[in-house]
Amino acid sequence: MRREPKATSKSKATVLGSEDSFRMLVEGVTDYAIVMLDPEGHVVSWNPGAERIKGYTRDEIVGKHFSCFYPPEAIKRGVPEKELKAAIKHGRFEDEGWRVRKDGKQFWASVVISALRDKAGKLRGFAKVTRELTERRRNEEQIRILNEQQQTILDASPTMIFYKDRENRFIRVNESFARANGRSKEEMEGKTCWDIYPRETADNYWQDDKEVMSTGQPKLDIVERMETQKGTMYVQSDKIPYRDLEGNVIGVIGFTLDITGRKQAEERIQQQSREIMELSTPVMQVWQGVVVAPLIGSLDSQRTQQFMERLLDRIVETNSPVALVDIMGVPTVDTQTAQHLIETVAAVRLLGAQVVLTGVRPAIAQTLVHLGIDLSGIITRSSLSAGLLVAFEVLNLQVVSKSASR
Amino acid sequence: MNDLQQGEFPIESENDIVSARRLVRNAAVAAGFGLTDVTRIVTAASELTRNIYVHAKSGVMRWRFLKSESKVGLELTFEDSGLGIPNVAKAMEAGYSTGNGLGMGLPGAKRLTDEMTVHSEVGKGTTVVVRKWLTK
Repeated sequence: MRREPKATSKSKATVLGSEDSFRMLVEGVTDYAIVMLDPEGHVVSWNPGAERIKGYTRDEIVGKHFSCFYPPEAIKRGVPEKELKAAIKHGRFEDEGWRVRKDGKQFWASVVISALRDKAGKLRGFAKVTRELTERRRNEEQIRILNEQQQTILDASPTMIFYKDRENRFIRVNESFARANGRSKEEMEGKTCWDIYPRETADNYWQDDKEVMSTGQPKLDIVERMETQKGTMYVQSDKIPYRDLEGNVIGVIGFTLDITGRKQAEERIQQQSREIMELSTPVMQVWQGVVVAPLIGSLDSQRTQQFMERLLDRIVETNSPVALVDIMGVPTVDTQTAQHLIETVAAVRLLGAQVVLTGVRPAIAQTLVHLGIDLSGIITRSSLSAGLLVAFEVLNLQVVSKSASR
Repeated sequence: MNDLQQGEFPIESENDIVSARRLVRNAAVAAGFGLTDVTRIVTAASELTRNIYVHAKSGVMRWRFLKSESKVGLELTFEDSGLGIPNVAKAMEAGYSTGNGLGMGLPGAKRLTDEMTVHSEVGKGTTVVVRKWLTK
């Protein structure tokens, strides 16, 4: 609590004289330690603020050297003397640092030491004003630690993380993001997307950012390409609105995963499945005029299309009047599969050839009946060998046992 | 949690039809159905999942074992939030199709199973429940 208003009231000032009122001012201040030192640094005067901050009473401290306010290592380095010298040289010395209370506890102090000279310019002593800022210092320290922890966590994440403001500038990025871009964090922060990526790519990113900022809704699972100094990456990003404490959207937070490996694996699998599809629909000539197509697996539309083309090609190529289509390896014949088979048969007929459907298992036969599918126009046989006999009949061939012809 | 006795599976692509068939096959075998019935159930599931894919683009298939004192069975539910079927009775007629199919799917699935209920609301979606009982 300050009590200056009383001390500065004009009538009292004239009554008490200026020196008295000045003393009252100093005595009234408890937020500041106001101390006078003699030219050698011994304490001459002491105010209640000094007692509150440093813990000594006036009687205890007057006459002692002011270096007792400094931590031992500062005394060893000669800090108190240096400060007085600096004050003498420049008239004034200002510093922040640790100081020691009477009970040994340290506090963070902001100190101003002014040299006091008389009219002749002779050094008469020093005025030392100290403020205690331990709390502020602690808060600053806390903020620094939190910041460091936050950065450590951000940098430890394999996910690429960044904040951007409404002007498309990177405010903060993590190590992972900077590394993927082949730059340092410092190189990226403060730059816009357009400074870093090719125009079109940057525009695409910005489009998503603008959407997130205008709707205030996250945009998740954005799969896109990222052109970096190290080449093209496939990434999957989640973009989330960055809000201030009042809830205003002030930017975008992005989480980006490198899915290049996964993407390549997917492409490989697709490639392989295309290859398997080709492998699994072979059409073989088993006899002059007879081709066999064993179907294995499920007949989806894409595969049926491929199979039909292949079968028709082979029939023309080998000039075969008969094609045996074996469905022993097809686990489920539903109406769509049946429809595909019927279409295949019709297409083969247009070439003047005919299809014998073989490998019709009993369970499949029953199911087809239940489904109400009419295969009456198609020659069907339960086994491939039975189908082959039909083919021979069409070709007007006969299988004769050697012993019988003898 | 999905297991053989009950579970659900989203239908979102043509490949999911193949996966759905495999799941139903495993469940039907585990329920104790014989080869012919398994083939029937799987074929019905194939029709109904394809209906979801073709008409509603996406939906979900659920399966669960049915147990009562006298019998056991398998129930399959196919649910989508597509356009719905304006005339369920008509859709149940053989040869009626709004797509490019044979129009056998829904009536076929009914014949392949023991019980079928179709609940459809235009603009809201369709739920088809089929049950197959294990004859002991």
